[in-house]
Amino acid sequence: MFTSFDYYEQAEKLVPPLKNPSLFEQEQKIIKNFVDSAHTIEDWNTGCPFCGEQEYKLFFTKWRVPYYKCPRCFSIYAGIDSGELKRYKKNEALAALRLDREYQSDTSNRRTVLWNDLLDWYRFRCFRYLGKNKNLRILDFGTRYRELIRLIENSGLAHSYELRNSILSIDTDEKTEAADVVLCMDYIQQEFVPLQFLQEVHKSLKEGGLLFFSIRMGSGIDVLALKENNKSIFPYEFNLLPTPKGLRILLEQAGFEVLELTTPGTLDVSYLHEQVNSLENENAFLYYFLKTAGAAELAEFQRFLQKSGLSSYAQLVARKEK
Amino acid sequence: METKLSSVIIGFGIMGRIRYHAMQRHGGYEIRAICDIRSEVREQMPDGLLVYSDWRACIDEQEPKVVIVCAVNKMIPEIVCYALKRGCAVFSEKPPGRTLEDALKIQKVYNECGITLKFGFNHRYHNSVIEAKALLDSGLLGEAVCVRGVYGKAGNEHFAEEWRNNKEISGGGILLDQGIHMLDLMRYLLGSELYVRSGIVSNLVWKELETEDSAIALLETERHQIASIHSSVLQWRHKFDMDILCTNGYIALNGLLTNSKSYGEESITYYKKDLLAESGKLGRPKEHTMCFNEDFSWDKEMAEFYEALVNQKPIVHGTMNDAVKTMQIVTDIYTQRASRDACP
Repeated sequence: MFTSFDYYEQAEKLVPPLKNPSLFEQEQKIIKNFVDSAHTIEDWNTGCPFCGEQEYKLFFTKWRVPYYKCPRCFSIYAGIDSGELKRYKKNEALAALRLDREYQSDTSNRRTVLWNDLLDWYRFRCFRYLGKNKNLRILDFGTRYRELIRLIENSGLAHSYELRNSILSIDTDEKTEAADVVLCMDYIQQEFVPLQFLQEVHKSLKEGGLLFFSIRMGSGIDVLALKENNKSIFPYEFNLLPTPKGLRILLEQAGFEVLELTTPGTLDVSYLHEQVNSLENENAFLYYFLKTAGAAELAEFQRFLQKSGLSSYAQLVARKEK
Repeated sequence: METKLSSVIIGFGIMGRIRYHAMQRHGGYEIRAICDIRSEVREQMPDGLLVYSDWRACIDEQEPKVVIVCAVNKMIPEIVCYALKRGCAVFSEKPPGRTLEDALKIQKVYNECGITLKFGFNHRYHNSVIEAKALLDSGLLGEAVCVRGVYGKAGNEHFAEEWRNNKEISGGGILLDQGIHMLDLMRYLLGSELYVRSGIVSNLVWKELETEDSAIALLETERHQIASIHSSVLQWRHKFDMDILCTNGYIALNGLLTNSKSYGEESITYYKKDLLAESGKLGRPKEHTMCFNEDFSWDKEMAEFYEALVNQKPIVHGTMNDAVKTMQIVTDIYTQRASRDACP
């Protein structure tokens, strides 16, 4: 296993943020309306979705939804109702916004460089673990950006590409050939029973096949420090926030060997900075640091978070065990 | 492990102990006996092992399937050839003797016997090297066209008295002892044979040594890839750095996780060429770095040897050919010294 970090300096030309503030506001408004209409559960009785621990502690509450923390694996999860989650996934207003041409085109303008970087990561890690990075059968869960799908399809990686469980996919019950690679980027956090989902993924993969996934982490600095003040974490969209320990337990239970787990996130410090005033009484050190540090110190701190596995964005590669 | 390979270890210095522990961890080797000529070493052997001071007696009496040769360079050809002729598979430390002639002598016996022989070029199994090879072979960064390597040692208070600096025993200095690993990696990562274009071997500081304290060489492949190496005991600290320039990007290997933990954190950094500054500033493209905190190189090396013997898998790293080709390069660099010394 290894740790990793990225070093980059932004060009002088302004690099747009990953999300369009206006579209993000519209998205959040729809989700908030949904959460307001959803019924809350009285008591959580299904245990930690990662390690199965029955004990839990309330960590914070956001939009009336409790987020619990597991005392065993330290993962964080939202106390939501499974029926309401199904209803959320079919939310037409949210799907319409995300399918809208402006939303799609704005997102691709902001993320194409990152997506190309992501494709390079797939190419490198597929070759590293499979010995090939061409003509692969790829199964993708949840990708919702047309341009990213186009890039994957045209990357040379895929012999065939199938999209499932996405607002852009047409799901069928047809049995398809087992995949070399399953992509599950920013998807699993919306599963109610992640173990069940990963067991399905396991069945879809060839022996020795690879699972790539990304997820926001409950061990990430902005998640732990900002709690309910974190603007980028909200219920129904981000329900599962695991720690590395929780993820390992979950994946091993599902029959996977974790090959690598890194936290290459770049936005933790930005998220903290945006909400720095909420830290004044909660975390005097972070408040002082964020208020006084220069750009170089902040960038160095972000790299430290990446390398130490403390960024809240994780990427993982796991192999289907024989 | 179902199949246990009866084994003996000849030479129980630092390397012999490293191999012993790696074989124990592997579980597929039944280590029966250890041989060392030093009485103080023989007195401190692990329990339950037969101890020999005579390597011939050790091999003859034990009739092992495997002989692990961790002796000094001078003894390697004789022991390896003897073991091969008696039908033993051999794992030997590098270098394959003191000279190219030694390596060729071993090769002749190896070709006659057709028995498995592997040399210990363990650097190929370091995590950063494995990642670099995968990165190069993945095609992500294009073709490797140039490689620069620096392998530096600190030396120590008793450095001058070490057997490695006794030419009669070692055959050469820092280049043969340590630089040979770097040369092997360059061949491996460039995927081509290297030819010496120029080289300087010198005693810049350790004047009293019979062997060199510094070696610098420029090399080239048939495909016109360029390599440079600086192997030195004048770094005054331990250092391992390798840069690989590719047609579409760059790789840097820095540090090496060794038993001494003195070469710094082992890492690989890479980036793609970005002439449009899309990923960062012009001249400072986005870099990706992976850092490693575990070294399984010894285990992987012994595992490959075992797989070759038990499951007939090929020896991929540390082959006889690797040993001869790398010795050829070392010899050619030393020859440059000889021709330079001949010039006033």
